[in-house]
Amino acid sequence: MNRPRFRSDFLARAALFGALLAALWTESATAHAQQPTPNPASPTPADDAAARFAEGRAAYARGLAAADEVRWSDALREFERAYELARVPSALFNVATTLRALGRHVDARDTLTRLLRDHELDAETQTEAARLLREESTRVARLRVSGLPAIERLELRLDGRVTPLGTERPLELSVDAGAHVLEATAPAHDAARWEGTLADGAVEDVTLVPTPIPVQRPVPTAPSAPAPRASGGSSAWIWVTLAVVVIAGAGVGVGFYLQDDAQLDATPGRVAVNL
Amino acid sequence: MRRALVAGLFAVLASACTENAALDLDVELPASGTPVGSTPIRAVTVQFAADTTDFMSAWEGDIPQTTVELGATRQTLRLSVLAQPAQITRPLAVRILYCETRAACESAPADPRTEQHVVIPRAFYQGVVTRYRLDAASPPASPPSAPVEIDRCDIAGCRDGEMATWCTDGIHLCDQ
Repeated sequence: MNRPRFRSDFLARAALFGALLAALWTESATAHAQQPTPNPASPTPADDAAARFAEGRAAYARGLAAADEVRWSDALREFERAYELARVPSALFNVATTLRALGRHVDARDTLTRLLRDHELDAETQTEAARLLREESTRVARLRVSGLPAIERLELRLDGRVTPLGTERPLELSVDAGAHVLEATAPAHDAARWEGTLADGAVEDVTLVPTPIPVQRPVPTAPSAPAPRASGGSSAWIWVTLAVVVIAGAGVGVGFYLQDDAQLDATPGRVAVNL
Repeated sequence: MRRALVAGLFAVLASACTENAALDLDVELPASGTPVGSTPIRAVTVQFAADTTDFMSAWEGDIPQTTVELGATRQTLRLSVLAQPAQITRPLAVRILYCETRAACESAPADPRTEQHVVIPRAFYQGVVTRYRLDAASPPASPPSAPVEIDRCDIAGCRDGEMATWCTDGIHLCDQ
């Protein structure tokens, strides 16, 4: 049920802001047009900038067309490209609304924060961006992770991706609504794992404590009663000694045979690089 | 008793014969899109050399290296760098290339936006797996004029756990 609402929201917003965004783009384009006329014989940095801007404008138009056709992934790619090339705030605004349409509320929130931080916006856009930011912030779910011990090579993975541990505890992670897996691992420790499904804006407290794997020590055995001495005791000792000598000899032989192969290999789970 | 004797014999033989060395290197990488100037970085190549510490020109030939596309968040690239006996006492040079695309990193020569240069004067010890975590999550604005040199006492090895230094009296634990 969410997607149709996103869809109509986005389109309504597009209608509402269409003129504004077009104006912003036109304004930037006009500013660009006032730059010196490029000399085709020797391209200058201004030529490069103009070409990037024109390419950005084309990407922006493709993004609007994709959004009209509800092709959100295509729209996102084009708006991101447009912003990368031209740095106009209207492109970044549309990146945010497209992320929102895709249900990527964490990314939408971060993009709106960036828009408000990095650009001087007119009052109307600023108000709308701030309103969307508040809305997106309430939809972002949070995992508050405590219990992480200060052990060497502790690693935290959220949905399979390594997550910076930071220094603040509890560690707060922003996530979109849905199913997630959080795992803390460390050498010589059993991994601690949490799995759960979060709703929009939910806050979940998670305690993850990897457990040290106990060192295996040999279990002392009770002294056994002395075996009755066999009548052929001395001959048994001869056989035992002979067996030890034969096994040791075989071991030395195999050792020398394996000499060339006894090399360190890459640690499992790591990419091997041979110098 | 016999089993212990034979197992011990094999263990002694195996360790005595191990001639190479390994460095388990964790490289902290930035998130995809981290900007260098106006260019977002999407891929990183990590190159290694045990025969040069000259970063002035691109390394050529069959360079030991690995390339990764960056993820949405910072990630750790987990490598095992294996050195042959003749390379063990040589400095290990690490060159990190930050590229706009994977193709830019993998082209020959590579076309990075910026680089980071690191030299570990002594990273390896015969028959030992050493460890180090290299922070490459913040690409420099431009390639550095001189490499960062890692103190040999910061290379973990020959003892478990967390330590402030891996030397005593200036001698690495793996040399004792």
